Amino acid sequence: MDFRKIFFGLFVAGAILVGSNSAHAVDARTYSAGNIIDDAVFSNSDSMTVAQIQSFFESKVSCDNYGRKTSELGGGTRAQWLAARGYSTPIRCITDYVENPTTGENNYGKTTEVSGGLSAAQIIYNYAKQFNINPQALIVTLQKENGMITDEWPTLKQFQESMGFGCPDNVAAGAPACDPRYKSFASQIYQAARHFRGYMDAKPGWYVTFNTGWQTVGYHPNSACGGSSVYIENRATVALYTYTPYQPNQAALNAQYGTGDRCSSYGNRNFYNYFNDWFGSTRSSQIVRTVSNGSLYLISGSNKYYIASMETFNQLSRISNSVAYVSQEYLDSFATSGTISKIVRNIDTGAIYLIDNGSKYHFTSCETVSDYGFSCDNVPNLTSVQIDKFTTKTGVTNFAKVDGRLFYIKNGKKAEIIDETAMQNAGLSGAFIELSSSAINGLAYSKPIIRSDILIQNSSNGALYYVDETNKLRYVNGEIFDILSGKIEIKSLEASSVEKLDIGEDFYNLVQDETGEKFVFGEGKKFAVNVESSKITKISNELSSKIPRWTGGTQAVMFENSATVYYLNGNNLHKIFDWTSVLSLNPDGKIIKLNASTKSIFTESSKAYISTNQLIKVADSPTVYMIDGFLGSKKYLGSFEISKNLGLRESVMTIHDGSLKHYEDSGVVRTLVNCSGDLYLASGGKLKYFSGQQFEQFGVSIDRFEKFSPEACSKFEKSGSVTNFLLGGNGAIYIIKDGVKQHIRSYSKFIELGGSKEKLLSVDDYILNSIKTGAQI
Amino acid sequence: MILKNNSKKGKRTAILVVSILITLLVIGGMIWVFRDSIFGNKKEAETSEENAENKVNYEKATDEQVESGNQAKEEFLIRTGEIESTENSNSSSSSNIANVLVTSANLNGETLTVRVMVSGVNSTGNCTASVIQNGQTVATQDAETQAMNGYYLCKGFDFSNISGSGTVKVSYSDSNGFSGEATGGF
Repeated sequence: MDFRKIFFGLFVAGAILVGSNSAHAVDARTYSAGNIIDDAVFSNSDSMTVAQIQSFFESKVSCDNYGRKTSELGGGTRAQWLAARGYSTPIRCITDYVENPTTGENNYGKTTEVSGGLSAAQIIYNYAKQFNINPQALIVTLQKENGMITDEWPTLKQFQESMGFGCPDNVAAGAPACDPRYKSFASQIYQAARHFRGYMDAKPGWYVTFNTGWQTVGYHPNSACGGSSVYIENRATVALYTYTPYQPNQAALNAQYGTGDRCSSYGNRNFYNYFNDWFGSTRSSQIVRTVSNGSLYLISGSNKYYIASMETFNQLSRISNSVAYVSQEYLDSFATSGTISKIVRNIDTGAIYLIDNGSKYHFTSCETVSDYGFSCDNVPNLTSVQIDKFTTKTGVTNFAKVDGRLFYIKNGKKAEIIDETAMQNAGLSGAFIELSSSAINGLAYSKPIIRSDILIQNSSNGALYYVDETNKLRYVNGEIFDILSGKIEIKSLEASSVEKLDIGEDFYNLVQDETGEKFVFGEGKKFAVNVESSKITKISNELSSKIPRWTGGTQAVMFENSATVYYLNGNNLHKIFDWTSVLSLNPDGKIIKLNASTKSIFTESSKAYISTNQLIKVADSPTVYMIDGFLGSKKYLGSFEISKNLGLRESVMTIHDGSLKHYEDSGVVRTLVNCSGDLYLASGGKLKYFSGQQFEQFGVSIDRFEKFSPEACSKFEKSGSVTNFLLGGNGAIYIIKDGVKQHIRSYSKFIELGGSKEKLLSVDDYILNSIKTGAQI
Repeated sequence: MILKNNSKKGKRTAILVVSILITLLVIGGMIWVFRDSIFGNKKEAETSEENAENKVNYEKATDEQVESGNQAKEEFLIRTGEIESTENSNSSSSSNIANVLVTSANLNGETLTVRVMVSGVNSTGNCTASVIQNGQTVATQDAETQAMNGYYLCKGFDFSNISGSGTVKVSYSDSNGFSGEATGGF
């Protein structure tokens, strides 16, 4: 196997693949009958300098000045063919032809200098400038009329009738083929440029065969070949068809540069082919600027519209996605007709559209136009062709969906709609159209359409607000958000929308639902409280019902980040020092944990909560007291025998601060107990009830009974009634009868009197001393 | 045995080399096809530049371009009488038939603008245009022709106070005996 051959073959294949791009040529089938060349390109008189034109000519032809090559038309050499027709050498080509534009004197067949002579490049340049026609269009016309640009041996007549101007297809017998008034190269170029400009501008007095819009264009001078209706988009195409009034048929287009069929014409096809292959696209952006001024304009019909922003430029990309450089003269030929933005009118139908993101939305009324901040009186007019570049969408409504956000567009402003429920609540209905943000970003924000009982988040800074029943926003801190999260809808609004809303007071830690019940929050739950505060946030029952409730009736609370336990009593917090007190509030020991910020709602009292009946002392004093009632008072305890008979716990709590001083002194702990008028005798840790009859038997003054609070009384264990037999601290047994106590001297007598162990009540001296003493038995 | 082994080894090497080369060619081709995606949309940028500056092609004219130019030259020389056509002409001029074409019949507001081109004639002539609606001729205008570049154009017609739809019938005649007519709708 010869690897060198294989490698070479592959190399050649690769080279062909790579090299194929360099020989690009336009496909004639891309010819657009309605737009052969754009106005801007056709009018770009700045496209080439004289030197560039000359260089271009020299790149395209090498002149056979002395006609030494064989004539393609027969008759020997080219020089001989020409000589037979009266031409002498040197032959002049487009590269070296010189002519005096005034006299028509030229250098064809001469070697002498032409006085006042200008090169063909200079002549083309001059008239291109004079009539603001692209010199490239004139060059291409020269080529398509008689092959002048590539001709190595043109005749003088080719120069003198180069553009075919004044040369009808048919002439009467004996009449000149061309009008002798235009028989010079300069005259031909001048007339061609002048007529192109005249056809472009359709000046008064100029009869132009075609116009923009629907026109009938034939395929061939022979009318039997027919033609077709063509929508001519621009004046440059009008000019070309008026100059050469035939369009190529499909056979001509299929043939590229070649020959089609008997009905083919090639003039405009060749113009298109040559222009594309030699000078680039005939299509230019309809968005133009001059070299010296960066202002962009959209060209439409005879108008130009200033493009004020990159955003608008992007919106117009369906019409043109690039910018063409045009001469100032060309730009000035269009009427300055204002600034184009997002609203345009089809000049043919009058329909007004909102253009956005490559689509067009039809405005069905001027009121809607006004709602979008525009006026029907001043809408840029675009051609149907330009309008048709945009995809047709639905009609414009007052409702727009932009990047997932909903807007109500009215009176030149946009109001963000929080959701369709809010929209319905506001009595609004209608279909939404999908727009890009740029479509409505020129509209000012108005008050957004929201609804109550939701959270709104500022999309810019993330701030959260609760919408209360008056649609005011209440700032929600992180602690509250933790409570509400998952229980309430969160909607996003742009910062500009949030700014339009009324911002009320913050969402407080204290809320009140529609039933009037008030709550604070802790560990994601609500805790019913009975406080009075102006800093309260009203919430709906619906929201309230979604927040779980702390169960249990305890009032022992503590706050996050603190170990202190409090008794919550209305607005007041009372410190709790001991577990017994907690249990006194809630036997299961539950302590409600509230959010730290909640504490500010309450007032911390200097009076601590110590459970009723608790024995207590301060650290630096031996004096012991009993707490009487909820946040009640303190009673002096004279001995532990008393507390024992009352059934009080033996342990004494010692406190180290001044809390105890806030408990008023309310007497002394006694074993004769008055609980709201019910009288008891404390014995053995229980209260024995005094019936009316027994009270009379004892004859004890009511003043000897110590009044206790109902809370304290409720804590005392009550069991049985008072009997007539008392056991003193010294072991003496007494019988109480008729208001006196009598010492029973023997146990047998005690039995005899009806006494028993069960009836014998152990009492302290205070009780015994309270009863008058009688004779011993 | 040794020779046989060498032959097998040689074949394997050949297959390997060919495989590598084919792979390289395919990869190269892929890179070429997707060069815009790989190296950025350079082509688009260049296209925009071309649009903006109308890049001039200074390369030598292609054979097709030269041939097409020669064809145009030959037609020019025939038309100007410097050479004779080798084909038998069957032009309309020999039968005195004017090719009339209504190129434009557009109603703008209440003005009907009609443009008519006449070819195949060798002098100016006269055009008559009639506006026909519902079978009735509602307006008629006459106009002379004007020489254009290789054809003639009827000067006018602009009919006022026209509304709705209809047809325009245009007839042409000249002193050389050429005549023709055409209709167009609006």
